[in-house]
Order: sequence, then structure tokens, then C-alpha cells
Amino acid sequence: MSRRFFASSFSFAVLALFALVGVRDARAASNDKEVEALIESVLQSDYAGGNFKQALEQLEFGKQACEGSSCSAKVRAKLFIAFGTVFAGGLKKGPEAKAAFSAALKEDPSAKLFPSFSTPEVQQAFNGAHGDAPAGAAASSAKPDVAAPRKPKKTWPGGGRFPRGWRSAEAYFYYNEATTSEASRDWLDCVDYTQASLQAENRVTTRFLTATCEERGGLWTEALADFQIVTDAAGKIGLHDVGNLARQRAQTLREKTPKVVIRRPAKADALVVTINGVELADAKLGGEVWVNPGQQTIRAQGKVNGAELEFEQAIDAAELETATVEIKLGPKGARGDQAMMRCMLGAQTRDDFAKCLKSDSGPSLDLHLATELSGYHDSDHVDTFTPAFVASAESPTGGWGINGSFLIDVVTAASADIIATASPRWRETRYVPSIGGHKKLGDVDASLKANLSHEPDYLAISFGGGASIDLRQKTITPALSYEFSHDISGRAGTPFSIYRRDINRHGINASVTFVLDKSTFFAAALTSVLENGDTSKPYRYLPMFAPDVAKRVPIGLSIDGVNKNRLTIRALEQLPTNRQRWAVAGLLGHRFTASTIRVEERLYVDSWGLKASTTESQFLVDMNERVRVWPSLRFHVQSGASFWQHAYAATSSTKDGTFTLPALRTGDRELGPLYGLTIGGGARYAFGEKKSWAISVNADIVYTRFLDHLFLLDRLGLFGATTLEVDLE
Amino acid sequence: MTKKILRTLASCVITSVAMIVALVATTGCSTVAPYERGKLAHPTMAASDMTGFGEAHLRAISEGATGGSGGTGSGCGCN
Repeated sequence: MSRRFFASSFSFAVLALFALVGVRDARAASNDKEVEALIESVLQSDYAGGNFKQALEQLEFGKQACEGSSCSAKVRAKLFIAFGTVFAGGLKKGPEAKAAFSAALKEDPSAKLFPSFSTPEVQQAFNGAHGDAPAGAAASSAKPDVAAPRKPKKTWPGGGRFPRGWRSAEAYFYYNEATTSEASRDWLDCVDYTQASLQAENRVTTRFLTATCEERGGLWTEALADFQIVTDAAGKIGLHDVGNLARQRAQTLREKTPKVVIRRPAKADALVVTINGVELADAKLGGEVWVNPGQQTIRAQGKVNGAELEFEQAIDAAELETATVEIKLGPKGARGDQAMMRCMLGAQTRDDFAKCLKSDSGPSLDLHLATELSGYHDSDHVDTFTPAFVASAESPTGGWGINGSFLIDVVTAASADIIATASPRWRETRYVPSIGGHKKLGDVDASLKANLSHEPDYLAISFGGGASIDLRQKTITPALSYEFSHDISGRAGTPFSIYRRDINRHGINASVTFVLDKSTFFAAALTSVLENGDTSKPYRYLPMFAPDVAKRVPIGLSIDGVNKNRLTIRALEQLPTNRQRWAVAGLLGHRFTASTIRVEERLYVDSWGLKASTTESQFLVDMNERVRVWPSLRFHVQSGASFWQHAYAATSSTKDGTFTLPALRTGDRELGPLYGLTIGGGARYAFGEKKSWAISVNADIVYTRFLDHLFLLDRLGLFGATTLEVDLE
Repeated sequence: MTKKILRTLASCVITSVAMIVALVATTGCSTVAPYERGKLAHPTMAASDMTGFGEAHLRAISEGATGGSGGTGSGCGCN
């Protein structure tokens, strides 16, 4: 392979990557469709999957997308409904949910819950918000107050036929719409349609349907009243079954409907008490007031000694329970623990609402702990055992993170290269602590890291920093990093003060990640490493041959064969004292419905003449919420360094018997031409209530074919790793 | 023979890479709104190297090439 061939390919790849940067700007457009798609996606995946905080974070994006006039009021209302659903149904935060629903109703008074995600808690919070809304109907007693009726979504177009027993086509039309709404669990719509039907024709069965939908929609006091009416009326017209059923439902509701006892304060004049915005008659104070389940806000205003005082308290009225509220009037503005609630209820803009939420949430910290045990064994008698420990802390709201790891590498080797030098099996332990951190500064993420590697005859210290920036709504993320490493190469058993070789490395990595579409990304990276120092191994002796013999030494010659043909001289390895290394890599990732494919290609060249190509692919499949499996394939091929020979020739001087050795010589078989194939796979199982624990196993078969080497033509290795990790919040 | 095989393999790889790059270049980057990133946020879609410690170290010492995912190199006297 010629150097020009690789250089031209390298240039083409870089130019093509730069071509990708010239992307066209998208025109701005209404975001209704996209935000609705986001809401559906968040509720079906994050909310349904129990990832409530993630759901809120995703919905925040929707708020950003609805800035200004980017969304219609209807869609903004849906977004707030989604917020309220997550707060009430997921996080069990009633006040926040009610405030979100209130904001939704401000945007669109006809906003409704998502039927598939409505739970009793959600319904209760929504009812509470409805009670605070100007057009909402809230009950404070067993007999519902007369409130402005909601308008049904569809209006009778006129005409139409109706079956026997009906007198009004309009009533029949609305009754049909009501049954459709009931089937799709749109309880409030059902109530609206039945109310409209009742206005056109007062039928017992229609009222029974009204009461049923009211009960399902959390309007228990209204439902109780309607069931009572049905009980009274059904028997008179011979519908005894309906009457009995209504009586049973009414009895059940009487038992489970929550009650509130509100005690008036002593010495208060002009006292006005409201429950969810509906004024409570003075005669009802001190007695049981039947309320719908869910959030109930009791407010009171009055005068004590001429001073205007007020009171507010939110309670969660649960079924079968009776709550008692003591009104304690206080100065205006002293809201205490209700500050957040009033903040949200009073929010006029979406930014105001967001500020109320952020002020209530404390700092969050995500901790990740992991331990990995890995081992390797190959046919060349090399064994490694590597336990590693990792810990990281990430603050999603603070935009910073720190991480640390500690790795122990235990290696025992009796490879052919070692045996050939008549060396015994050796064993060595390496310790590698590292630490890093990053901080988000606006759109820029800055990072620092430090690393230490210690073994008896080698010490490496490195530190580096980098930065990345998010562009075009995080669809393009370029990054640049620099790392400096200072290595000290020594000899086992000899202090560094006696024998040492210093090696310095400067590494620069430039990368850019492109988000191609909703499911695909492409990451390109360019790495350049400049090495200065003698990296020759002080223990690596090479067999030398006479020039005429070297030409005839076959590839793969055994240790005995080499010993028979070599010269008596043994030469130490000698590598160039500087090296420039370049690599360009591209990674393509695509997410399907429940699987991901990752394909990566790396091209490498260096000043020692070594060229390489590495291709890897992984296909990760989510079998279910807890189990993921993946096969993987990796192929690596490289040429040898320009000074690589499997048999080096040494010429002897006839004058003094000394030998002239090749200036550059090496026995590192990873500097020779070879190819390697790795076939592997893994599996991951998440367990625990929140799936915060996970155990993974990974296994690879590594086959390497040496194309121009002595002693060994190929090597088969087995690698295995087990990882246990946990995420804590 | 060996050089011919390596040359052929390299040309196939380079051609594949060029095709991928060309495909990406023709499709271009679409504007993906932040709220459409559900799949992109999946843990298997990280742009960083997902290899574990042991496997990454094994590759570093058994292959003559380095780089492409950041870092200066071995940092150990392993080879």
C-alpha cells in the first residue's frame, strides 16, 4: 500500500466531512405538529415507563419550542395538561399538577385530559383546577351549585332520525356522542353531551349515563345528585333495574365521597370562605361539606380589628376521609408554605410558571457506580486479570460532573517472544487511577482529566483538557481536546534515578458530531499524537542473522530453528526516537424502534510507515425494558513499520570482528503486518424497582494472524468481562 | 501475495468509507428539534466509545494503531 494512496484517501475523507458542515438553514415553521408529537412520545415512553423526571425534562423542550407564537393556544394547553399528568400521575405532586392544569385551562378553557393517561390522582388535580377556573363548576355540598354549563364539542347539525322511544333528534344525537365519549374514556365530554341531551329531552337513562360519567370523571357530588334523581324517577316509569343500580351507586358514593369541615376563626367580621372559588354559605361552616376528591383550596378573607386578613390552605380530599380545616387569618402576603402554589397559580407567562417550578426543586445529583472484572487468555500463554472501579457524579441542573476510576492490571506472560530470549514467565501488576470533570458554561462544555499509570518499570502521568460546543440546536457538536503525557521507562529492579528513559507525548483530538435525523448521528474524529523519546524495550533482544541467511529465514520459524541459524550476537531493540501518529475515524449510529446499530471505521498512518484500517460494528437489541443483547464484529488490518523485518541481518567486520547492526530494529510483533478478527457479544440485565441496577457480561474471541513474523503465525485469544453498575439519584 | 491482499482489503474499506461519507453528504443534516431527541438520547446512541476498560486496553496493546476516540496512546509499557 503506497503512502500516496492513504494520503489521498485521508484527504478525501476530510474534505467530505467538511462538506457536511455547509448545511442549509431550515426555515422557521409552526411547531404545533412537532410539540404534539413530543407530548405523545413523552407520555407513551417516559411517563408510561416511569421515567417521570425525564418526562418533565422532555416537556421543557416543548415549552422552548412554543416560545412566542410558535404554537397555538390549543397545543400550549395540551403541553400543560401533559405537565399536570406527569406531576399528578407520576410524581404525586398535587399542587404542581393543579397549577399546570390551571395554566392549561387559561390557554384553552376546553382543554381536557389525555384519556389513556388519566388516573384518579390526575382527575382530582384537574377537577381542582377546573374549580378554580372562572367557568368551572365546583361543588361544595351534596347539591351541586348552578354553574355555567360547558359547551359540548360537537353541535347538533339539525335533522337526523331517532329510534322509537325518543322524542328529540337533538337529544338522540348528543346521547350518541356521549356514549362515544364514554367508550373513549372522555368523561367530561360525556358529561357535556349528556347535559346537552338532557336539555333537549329529559330521559332517565340519559341522566344515568350523566351520573356514570360524572362519577368516572371525579365529579362525585354531581354524580351522587344525579344518581339520586334517577333512583327517584326510574321506579315511577317502570325502570326498576336502572333505579336499583342508581341506588347502589348513590350509596357507594355517599360512603366514599370526602368531606371537609371548615371551622371559622374566632372574632372575624365580613368573613367570606370559598372552596375552589365557590363561596360557601356561612351556615355550612362547622358542618360537613361534601366535596369532590382531589385538591381543594380553601380561601378565606375577613377583618379582624379593622385589618383585612386572609387565609389559604390546600388539602387533598381523599375518598372515605373527612378533613378538618381551621381558618387562621393572617396578614396579606404571608403565604408560608403555599408560596409556590400561589406562584404557579398566579403565573401569567410560561417563563413565570417555569420559575416557580425551578425555585421549588432542589439540586439534583445523579451518581453512577460501576465495577468491572475482565480477563484475557490466549494461545501464546498470556493471561491478564483486570478489575476496575468507576464512580461518577453528574448534576443535570448544574451542568457539571466529576468522575474517577481505579484499574488494576495483572499480567502474566510466557509468550513465544519471551521464551525465545530464554526468559522465564513473568508477572506484573499495573495500577491506574484517573480523575476527570466537566462543567457546562452556556453552550460550551469544558473538561479536564488526569491519569496515572504505575508499574514496576514504567510510570506514565498524563493530563489534558478539552471543550465542546453545541451548535444549531445541538445538531452539530464540535469538540477539541489536548492531552500531554510524560512517561518514564525503566528496568525492573532498578530505580528510575539509576536508569530511565523519558518519553513525552502531545495528543490533539478534534471531533464533530452531526445529528442527521431523529434517529441517526454521525461522529467524525481526527487524532494526532506526537511522541518524543526512546520507546525501545530494554528487555527485548532480537536474533541476528548473516545477510545471506536472513534472506532465507522462513516466516514462522520455530525457536529451535532460529537458534540453529542465528548469529551468536543478540541485539537490543532500537526504535526511532520520535513518532507522529494520525488517525481519522467515523462512527455512524442509528436507532430503530428497539435496537441500535453502530458502525465505525478508523484509518491510521504514522511516521514509522505503519498503516492500518479498523472496522467495527455492533448491533444492540433491547429485548424488553430490562434486557439488552448485542453481537459485535471487529476487523483490524495493518502493514508493518517501514523498518520491520522478520529476520534482521548483521554484517560482521573482518578487521575487528564487530558487527554492524540495522540502525532501526524491533521485535514488537504489533509493529509487523497482521490482521485481527474479533467476534463477540454481550448482554445486559437491568434490575431493581427503578431498573437502576444492571449487570453486563461481554465475551470476545480474538484471532490474530501474523503475516511476517518469527515463532508464531497466529494467536487465538479469549476475553471476558463482567460489569455491575448502579445509578443513584 | 500478502501485499496484494492487503491492498485489496484496504481499497474495499476505503470505498466503503467513501460511500458512507457521500451518503451522509447527500442527505445532509436536518434540523432536529430538541423535543424530537427521544431516540438520540438512548444510552446506546452515545457518540463516545462504549468499550469497557479491559477491552479498550486489550485493543491498545494488540493493535499497532491508536486514536480515533481521543487519548494519546498506551501510557503503559505493555507492548
